[in-house]
Amino acid sequence: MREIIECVDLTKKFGKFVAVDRVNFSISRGEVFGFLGPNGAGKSTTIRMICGILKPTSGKVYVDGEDVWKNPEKIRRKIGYMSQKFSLYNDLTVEENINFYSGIYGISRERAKKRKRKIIEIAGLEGMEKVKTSELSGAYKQRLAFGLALIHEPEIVFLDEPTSGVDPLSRRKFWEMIYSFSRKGLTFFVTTHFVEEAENCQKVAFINNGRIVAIGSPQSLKENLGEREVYEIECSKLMQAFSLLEREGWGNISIKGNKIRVLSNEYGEIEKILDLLKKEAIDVLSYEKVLPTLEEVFVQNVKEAQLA
Amino acid sequence: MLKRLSLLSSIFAVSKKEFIQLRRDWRFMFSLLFIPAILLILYGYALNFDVKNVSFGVIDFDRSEISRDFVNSLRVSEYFKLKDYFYDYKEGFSFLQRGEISFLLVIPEGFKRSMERMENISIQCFIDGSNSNKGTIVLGYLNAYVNYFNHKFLKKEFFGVSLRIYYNQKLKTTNFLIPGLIGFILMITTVLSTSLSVVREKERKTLEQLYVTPLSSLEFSIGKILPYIVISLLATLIIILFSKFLFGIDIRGSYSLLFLSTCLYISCTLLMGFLISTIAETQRTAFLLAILTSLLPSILLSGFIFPIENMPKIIQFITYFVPARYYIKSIRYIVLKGASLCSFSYEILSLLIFSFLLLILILRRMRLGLK
Repeated sequence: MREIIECVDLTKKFGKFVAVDRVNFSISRGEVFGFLGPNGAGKSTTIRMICGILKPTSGKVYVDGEDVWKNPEKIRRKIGYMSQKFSLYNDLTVEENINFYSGIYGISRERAKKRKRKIIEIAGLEGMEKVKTSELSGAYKQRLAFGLALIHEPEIVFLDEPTSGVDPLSRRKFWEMIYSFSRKGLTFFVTTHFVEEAENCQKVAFINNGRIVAIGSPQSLKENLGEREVYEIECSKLMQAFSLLEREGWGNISIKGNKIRVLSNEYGEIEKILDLLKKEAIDVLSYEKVLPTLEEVFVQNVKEAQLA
Repeated sequence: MLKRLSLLSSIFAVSKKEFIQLRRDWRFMFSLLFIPAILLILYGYALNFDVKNVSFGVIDFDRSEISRDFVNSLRVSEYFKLKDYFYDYKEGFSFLQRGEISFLLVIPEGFKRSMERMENISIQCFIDGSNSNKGTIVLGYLNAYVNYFNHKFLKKEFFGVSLRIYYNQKLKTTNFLIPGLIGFILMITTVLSTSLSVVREKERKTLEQLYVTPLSSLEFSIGKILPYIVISLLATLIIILFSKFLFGIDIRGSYSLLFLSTCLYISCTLLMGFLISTIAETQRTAFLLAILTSLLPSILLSGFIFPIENMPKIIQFITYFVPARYYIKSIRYIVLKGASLCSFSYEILSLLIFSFLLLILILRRMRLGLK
């Protein structure tokens, strides 16, 4: 079976500005794909080209083996989309919102009834069908928007920063919901600001300045840092140590609890670091080599891409 | 067939949603229905070019029964009101200057004698011309009275033109103004109503969601405008009832023609508002654009008050882009003349073409918004 989404040299220019630059990737059916990048990196431009809203300057997008721009309307029946603003009509009730979208997709009356029950179940809004959407909490709005993105039973769902403005517990629940649908074969394309959330994805792509700088499973991305290693150092005078290392040219440092995390530039650099700390009369209590977090990988990749 | 059914179902879904939203926003709904009627009352009473109860003063140097007779024939009419008799010019002019009288009649000595001898004699009249419109009308009335008086006094058969005015026998300005006023008011309220509709969806980001659905620009536009057509028609009905019972305007022509032209007109103006809505990015801009494109042109360039024939050629050309121009002519023809379709078919056709062009522009605009 072909991949459900394939981007081939996808490019979008706005005048002289290149928003998306020869992007290539593919997503398999049932995968949860995470799309990460700073604001203005080209995330939403890419999504809009895949959804058939924005025409690529060059390159191709295939959804389910079909060129999106040959028949955008057909593609739109295969995709669901949920934006960070949840795009619900706040002055309509839960039920009226659902009815509106059933109508737009031309869903038959019989099927619409079943879908309505299903969406209300997904959103956990049983008995609240007549409540105005403006009166719902953020988490309920999010789940209703999610349900509405599924109303026409699409094959791929795009979630554009779906968890912004939602509390951590609801966020956790939301991801569980995504997994349960992904197990049934639904494909998810998720953009997010939260790097730790990308750990939930099976495949992650980092985009910066319109280019994909790294792509792969979270595990493989962490292992592919080359010569670099991450150390956690427990020491006295934490802040002093932090600024010392920063001054001496280690860019990727962070503080975690009572430890400092340092990403080394090359293999075996820990001796150099320990010497340096000793000179400044900072006592090292313990140190150990650890696996990098996705955030460190991300920051490193973006930095390298900027240098290149 | 299936395709057509789904088209209807999407249009219906959009209309239904829009209608529910309008119903919830009852202040807006109320404004759409009754603001036109309120405007009609305000403008209907305020805008009146009829000249009545014009006060005047007289300096009578003749003091004869004939001169008194002449003054009396003026004062009993509903148009003039005698302020006072004065004894010299100075006193009379001071009243004229203060605006307490609008004209001053001076009847010279020997008025009676000349009349009896059938000699030519002139009476003097000083008219306050600061309101030139009123002054001209007063002058016209006065001339008519002088002729009438001559005729009565001399008891002679004159050779004269017998005038008979058609369509607005009393030449009452309300008869002329109210139909135009309806066109003017409808233009403002309809353009405003839809001008906010798409921008609101832009601001609330719901439009973004619709872009990824199979909903087409045509389905969206038609579905969104339909509820406004219904409401605007209701508002028109209310306004027509008001003009019948408050201003005594009777519709001489056919109701179905009035319905047809009103439908076309409001579709046209609603589409105009809709186009503004697709262009503007915020409700504030949309509101300003709507006011600018509807209020001024429909007062100044529609023939509502100022005849288009009197305008410079270039301005006349611009009036072709003001839909109110076509409707105001049609509604005057229907209401006042009871005219048949063929006498304003050009106007109806223009409205039709206008709506069509607007729809094309909107569809282009909406598709542009996608890219």
